Amino acid sequence: MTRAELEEALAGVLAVSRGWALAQARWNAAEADDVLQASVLKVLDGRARFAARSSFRTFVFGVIRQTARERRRRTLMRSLILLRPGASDEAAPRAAVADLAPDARLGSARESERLVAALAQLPARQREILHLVFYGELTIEEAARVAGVALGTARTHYARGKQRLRELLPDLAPAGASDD
Amino acid sequence: MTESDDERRLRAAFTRLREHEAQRAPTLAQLLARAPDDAHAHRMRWPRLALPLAGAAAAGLVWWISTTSPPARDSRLATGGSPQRGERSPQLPDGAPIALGSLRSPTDVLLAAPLASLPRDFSRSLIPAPRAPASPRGEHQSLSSSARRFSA
Repeated sequence: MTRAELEEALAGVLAVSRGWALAQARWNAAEADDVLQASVLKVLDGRARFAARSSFRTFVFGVIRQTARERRRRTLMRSLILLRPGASDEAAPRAAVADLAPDARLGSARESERLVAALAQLPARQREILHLVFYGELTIEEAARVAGVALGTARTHYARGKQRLRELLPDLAPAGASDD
Repeated sequence: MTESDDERRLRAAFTRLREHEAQRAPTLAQLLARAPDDAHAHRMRWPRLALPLAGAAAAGLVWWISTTSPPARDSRLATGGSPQRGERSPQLPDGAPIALGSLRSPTDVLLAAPLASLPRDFSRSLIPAPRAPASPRGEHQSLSSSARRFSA
């Protein structure tokens, strides 16, 4: 693919990719934008090559996941070496709800806030698979490829994650409900 | 609630979340024009940490060399030269001279002087005694004596 084709393809998946970057950064907007920027640069300068073995969206999601992992590892090492406790991985999502768009804190959009808070309570694998399937609109097979797990494992995480979300959000608004 | 209802509700909730987040998503041009992430700032922190560490390590080495070995002996060991006329050869605590020819590596040279300044028993305990070649017979004897102890 030429650079112009890559840019066009990236622009087409940018919004949903940012959502995936947010999920990878535990809804820390600044961290998510860093991850997204680093991933886009990797794709554009050829450090990550699209081999057309999967959809472009799956490829970009994989690059974002890898980049986020590298950054987490680097942050952990840095905090260990400098003997500075890093931001707690578990505390971040709860605080990061505030990073949602301002209007997300109003009306029925409060549901988004509740969804993020509920997702934060799931194990990482379940959260990833559910996010990839429902938010990223990937198939479970594609989600398994992005998450680097076997298809059967992904199906298990999907089912368990869905069950747990049902328990955490018993009163989800039905499909088609409009925002306030 | 059926399974498909459940999935539909979840999908709708995720769709609404995506719509909210999409309002803040940067365009590709904005993303590329954005200042690089804070990796550069973190990289800039390293020299600030590394410089004092290197300085402290160098000062520690100088202090250690200056306090653990006499200067004359050090200079001769470092240059590998032989003792001058009227000068005593470096000796181990038990009086045995250090054979300068046997010092092969810089590590040997660095270790010889501090070893010579240690108390006699302590320095001997640091020098490993030559080990006798292990024989299958010896191992067998050792095993059988252990076995005897165990059975007793």
